[in-house]
Amino acid sequence: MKFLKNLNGISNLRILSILASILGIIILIPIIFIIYENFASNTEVKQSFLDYFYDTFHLILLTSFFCIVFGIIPAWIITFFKIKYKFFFDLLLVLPLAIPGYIMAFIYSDLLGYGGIIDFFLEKNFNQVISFDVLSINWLSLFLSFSLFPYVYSTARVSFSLIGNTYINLSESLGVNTMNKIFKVIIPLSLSAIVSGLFLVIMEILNEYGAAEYFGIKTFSVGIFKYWWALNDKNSSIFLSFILLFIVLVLIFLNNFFKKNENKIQYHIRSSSVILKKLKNPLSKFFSYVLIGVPIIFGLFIPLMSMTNNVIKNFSKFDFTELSNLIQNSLSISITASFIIVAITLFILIIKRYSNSNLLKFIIRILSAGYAIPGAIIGLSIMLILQQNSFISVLMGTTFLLIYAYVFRFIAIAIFTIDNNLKKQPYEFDRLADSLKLNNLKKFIKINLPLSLNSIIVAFLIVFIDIMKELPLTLILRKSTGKFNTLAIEAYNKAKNEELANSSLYSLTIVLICIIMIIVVNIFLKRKKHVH
Amino acid sequence: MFIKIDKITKKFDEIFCLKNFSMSIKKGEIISIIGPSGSGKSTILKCISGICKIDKGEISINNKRVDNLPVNERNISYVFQESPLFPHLNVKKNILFNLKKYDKEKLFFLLKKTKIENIQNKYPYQISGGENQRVALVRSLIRNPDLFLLDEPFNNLDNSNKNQLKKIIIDIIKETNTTTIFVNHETQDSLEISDKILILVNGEKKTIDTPFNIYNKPKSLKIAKMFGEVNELLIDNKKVYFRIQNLIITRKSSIKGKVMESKFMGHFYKITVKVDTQLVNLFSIKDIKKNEIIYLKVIKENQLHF
Repeated sequence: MKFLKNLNGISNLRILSILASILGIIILIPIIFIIYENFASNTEVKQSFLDYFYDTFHLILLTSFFCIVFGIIPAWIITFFKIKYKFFFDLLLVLPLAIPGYIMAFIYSDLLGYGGIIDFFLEKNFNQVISFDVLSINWLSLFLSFSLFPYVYSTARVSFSLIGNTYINLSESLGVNTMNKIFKVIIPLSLSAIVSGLFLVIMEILNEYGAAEYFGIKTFSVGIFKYWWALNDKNSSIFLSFILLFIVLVLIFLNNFFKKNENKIQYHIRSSSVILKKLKNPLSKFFSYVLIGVPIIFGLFIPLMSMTNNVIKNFSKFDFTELSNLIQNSLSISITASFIIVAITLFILIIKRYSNSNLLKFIIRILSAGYAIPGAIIGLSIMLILQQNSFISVLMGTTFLLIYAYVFRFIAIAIFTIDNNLKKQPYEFDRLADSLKLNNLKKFIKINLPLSLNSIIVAFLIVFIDIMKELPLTLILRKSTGKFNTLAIEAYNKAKNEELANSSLYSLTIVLICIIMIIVVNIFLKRKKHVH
Repeated sequence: MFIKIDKITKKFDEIFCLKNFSMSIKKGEIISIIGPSGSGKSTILKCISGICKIDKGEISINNKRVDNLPVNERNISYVFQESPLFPHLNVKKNILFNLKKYDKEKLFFLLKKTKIENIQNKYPYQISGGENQRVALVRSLIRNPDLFLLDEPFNNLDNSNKNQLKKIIIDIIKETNTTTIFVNHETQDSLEISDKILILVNGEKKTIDTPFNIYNKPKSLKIAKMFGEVNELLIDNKKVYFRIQNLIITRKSSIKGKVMESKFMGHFYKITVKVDTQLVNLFSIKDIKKNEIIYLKVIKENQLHF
């Protein structure tokens, strides 16, 4: 604190920026290590690696397609038409984010699988049985899209609202019909936002482990786990991680390249408020509600009902002491990690703002890509580092290690949220504070901190939700000791052992906690809008 | 009449924006609509184009009723206040947006006339505000509209760009014989461009006449003041109204005044004179010192009568 108080001198800021840079580099160690290890080891490229490639891309393509359908259509209807209870639909269409992909997949495989509720219903009433195998890549894509479409929905919704009525009126006055209006105007103008949403969906799919493993789909994350744990083939695991990292980096590059070009266009979009159109025809009104309702029913209501049903049915069998321990574990690790992540982010971003250090800017840019790096890679890399360095191997299986991994994986979310807010704070405020002879610590406490408070809270809550749902990273890092258990791990383990009814209690707890958090985030975001 | 607007009414939240508004326009005529902010100028254009639906009345073009047609079937081109170009399309694609067939000669003529031939491959973010408005103009006119609507097209342009665009618009509209309604708050522009000027106050038509008559024979003092300063002077116990340029300095006259202020305006000086207890303004080529006594004469034939 004393050090911070004397921050007016440039030399002190330089020291702090070096400190922040070192902190950034420490967080980045896993990624540097996995690249180094790949080139250091001689891995024989196996034919089976191609299967991982094929399955992963198959899953990405189909899930993205479903997410576009479930995300864009409701966003279009809600933005441009007069719909009753719009506020609730808006919220309900984001809430499926609270249900992790693996839980969604477990629930639907239970409902649609052999001996499931649908099978039972068909057999009882029509003397028929389900003739398809739900444990396939196509069905998994659909199930994953139920929990991932909100990424596309929210980005498309914001973008559609920004376009407003200006371009709609203009295109109509130029003789454009409804279909052309969508494909020639609305979609091209929102393309960058939709691609950003899809990018998040793809990153989530690449990170997905629990569902893919359960469905027997060979995704890269599944491969990394399989070679590392089951086949004890460290080199193949590293090679798959490297390939996955390469794919992620290509996707980041493509996304950035696309964004750079689109930014020029986006800045020239003249936003205007949307004048909502009435749906006069009862048939079109009905279909609009159906199109909004389908993703809500399949993404939220059915999974919630199924989990609740399982919990009620097996209520007497549950071990609530275990549940309470797991809640305690999950909450304590999520709160602690979220707090640390937000604190580091704030420290690094404020030092960047005050010092304008190029090195720090570069490190922050790399850290921002952290969210795209699948948990399996980070987990594997950390395990390798520990195995090779005996003096730090004592950290194996500790909470410290888990938090360190979470920091790497989720710091990007905090950076994105807080930095966006800091960028909106004019530098004139800082200069004014300097002219009023406030030192940097006072400047931070009296100006930047109060102005960033909402974004800090939002960042904390979003990171918290992501950590609550996180599976592969936690799984890989606690697997070595098996001591530390979370709700996500227990939900996954029970489902994997065909104890779906038991798994529901843990899944429902995660989902309910996340739903509450998402509602709180929404309230804060609305408040933020109001303040601005 | 080519365009007939018959008793149209438009309400927003139970407040009348237009009340029984009627107007007729001949083919190729340019009509300017002038009125204070919130008088309903832009609403008229939105109703005619179909962006806003009218509550009552009829709109017909060339004897065909259009008010029941959707926007995209009306063949009306609309250049908005800040006419946006589609940011994802280049200039040429913006101009030819949603056009299956077009007259290549006309396009060439319009591009040349508006001097944007060389920016066809540029994107909206690469061109200036003036060029942006010219592209929007070409985009509207290439469609051979039955009616061309211009909503304050010079709003965000500097003087040089504005004068250029004004000349281009008049030339093109006259050469292509396009019927035009032009909404503006700059009265000088309307006087220059229009065949007729319509004055709109609180959604109601106050008057419609030629620019000459509106300026020189306005129906009320309020309308007269919209187009420039008006002096009021009591001569022989009778109030006389006249424009500044119709008060001149003379050697001897019954109107004697004392100079109170002289302001340099560029081409001339604006002199404020006190006649008895009344203040009047006049233009002078030369500067006149404060407190100097001068004699004034009102050009009788140019007096304003209400």
